[in-house]
Amino acid sequence: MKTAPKTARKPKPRLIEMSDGTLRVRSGWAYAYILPGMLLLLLFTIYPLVMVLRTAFYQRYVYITNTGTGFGLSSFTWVLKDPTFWMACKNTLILLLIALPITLILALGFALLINSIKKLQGFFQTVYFLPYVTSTIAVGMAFLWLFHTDYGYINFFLELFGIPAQKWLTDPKLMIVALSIFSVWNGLAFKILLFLAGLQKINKQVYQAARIDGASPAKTLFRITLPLLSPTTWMVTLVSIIYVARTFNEVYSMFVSFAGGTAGSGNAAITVMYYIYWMFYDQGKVNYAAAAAILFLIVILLITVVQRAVSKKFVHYV
Amino acid sequence: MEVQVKNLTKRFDKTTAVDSINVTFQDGKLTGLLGPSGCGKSTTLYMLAGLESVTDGEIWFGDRDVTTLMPEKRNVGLVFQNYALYPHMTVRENIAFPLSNMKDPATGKKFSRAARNAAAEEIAKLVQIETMLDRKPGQLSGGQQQRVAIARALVKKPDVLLLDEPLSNLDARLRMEMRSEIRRIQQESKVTTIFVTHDQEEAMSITDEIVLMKHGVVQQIADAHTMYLDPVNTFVASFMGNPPISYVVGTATDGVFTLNDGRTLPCKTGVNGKVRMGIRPEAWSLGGDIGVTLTDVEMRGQDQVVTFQLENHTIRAILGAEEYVAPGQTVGLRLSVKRCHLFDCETGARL
Repeated sequence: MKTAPKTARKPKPRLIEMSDGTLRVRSGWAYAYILPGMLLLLLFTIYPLVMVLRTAFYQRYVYITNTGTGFGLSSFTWVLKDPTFWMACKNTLILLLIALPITLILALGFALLINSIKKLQGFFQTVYFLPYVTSTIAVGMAFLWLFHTDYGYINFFLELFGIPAQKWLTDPKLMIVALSIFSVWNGLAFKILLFLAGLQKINKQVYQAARIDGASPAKTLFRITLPLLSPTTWMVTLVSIIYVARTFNEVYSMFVSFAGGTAGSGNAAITVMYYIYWMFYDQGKVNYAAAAAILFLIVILLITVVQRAVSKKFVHYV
Repeated sequence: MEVQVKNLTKRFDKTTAVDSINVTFQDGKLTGLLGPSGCGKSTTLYMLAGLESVTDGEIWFGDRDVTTLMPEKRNVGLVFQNYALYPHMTVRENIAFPLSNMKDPATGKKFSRAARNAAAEEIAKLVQIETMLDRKPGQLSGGQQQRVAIARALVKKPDVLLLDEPLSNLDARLRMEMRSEIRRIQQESKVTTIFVTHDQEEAMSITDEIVLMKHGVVQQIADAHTMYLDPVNTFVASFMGNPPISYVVGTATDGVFTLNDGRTLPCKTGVNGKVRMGIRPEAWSLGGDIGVTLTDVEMRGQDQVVTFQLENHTIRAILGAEEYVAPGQTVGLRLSVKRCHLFDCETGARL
């Protein structure tokens, strides 16, 4: 008599290899877990992005009814012909190419100083971090007074050295200088913190080895500290470029509040981010704002591509 | 170069890590600084390197007083416990780095890049890593990193080579290998070498001389033979040797040691009164009239380690492996007086 084989075969679980080499059972639940995050992303990032893209290609657009007419590149050509847009680009570039490097060097310097002191290190870390937890708008108010033509401390000190009072907040040539100084100061805190974290990750014995090997402090800085800090420096630079490119709060708090809508007199302190906002809120030209936003996105993407290429060459990942 | 420390002392706040030690490290020899953790051996090494300041006392390299000299001025090579290689530099750059900071003593000018690389390659041959010069430390095994660290320490032809627990980060097999490598490299380079270890076997196997420390105080300075066969106190006797020495307490009279329960053992003559006797495990052998009951037998191949009680003292003995013994068995043992030492009950000093 034959009996049917009683091997109740269980369905074989599908295994997938994780990045760390372990095997896991593949399960549909994974998608359920990422759903909430995905929904938020779709609703507040992807959907607006698509809508901005749509809006940017309308020739005329009515915000209230969300309807547009005509389809083409006219919004882009208008923005590219607008001198205010180019002024915004120029100002943003000044912030990126002059103010940001100054910020990075100062932050690195302060971090090296704080890292080299033994007593009161915690105190100084706290002091230098305070600006980060203070609202930019509030700090902007303070800077407004510092830069005040008649009553500001900055002019007060300049006059002590015999330099006449400057119109920091109204002279179109000086407004970008004031904005840069504010941007540098405002960006320092967080960068110092990041650099400090990077410095403290470096093995202390490597420095002892460098002393035994007779390396001078300068050589230790350039041959040991900076190369070993390069992943941190790179990360800070990357984050900062995106952050500075989006400068908005600084402009708003220092110039808009008393110029009424424009970024200072004649929009002289305008940045790309503020241009987008200004087009949208103040001028009500939504399709132009959208076109500027798209142009801005393309530039940021290009910067990111360049960054990736550069990082492979100069950063020591240990 | 001979290294001499005089009344060397290091205090951290209230604790004294190194307490007024006097040691002469002989020229061209390999000296082991040995002791349990926290005995001040690493602190002593770092004071020699100049990375730790000296509270009191003097350090002399030959006829040069280096007590307050900066580490970079002392011309020492130091191998760190975890090597502390420069992770972003290749092996070649790591080894050549010290040379880029100094002037060539022969010409008085800076070393050229070619001279640096040539020196690095030469020293790499000595430590046998000449095929890995273009790798980064992260791509090397622990033993290879160790060799690079030694090469980097040796490349500037230091007066003194210091090694801080050089073998502690290696696995057992590699440790044996690097142990003899350090010995070979030291003998070929003939540099005065001081190395810190907590492993008595390691210290005994490769050093010319051992400095044994405890609580910041030097207990004994001697070669491995003397240290093992002729310890000055119970600490030295206990620290050296594995399995460790066993102790019994009793009264010695004219070569007879009487335990409190009346049993007697032979001992050396000339000491009378209440004493502590340390018995090395190899002092025992089978075939005598001291009857003991074995509680444990550990077969090790070439010999066997047995455990038994004498009065209330636990004794370990190494017996030949030829004769089969088992736990619970009562055997007759013989005791060799030469491998027994008498110590003062209170101070632990050798009598």
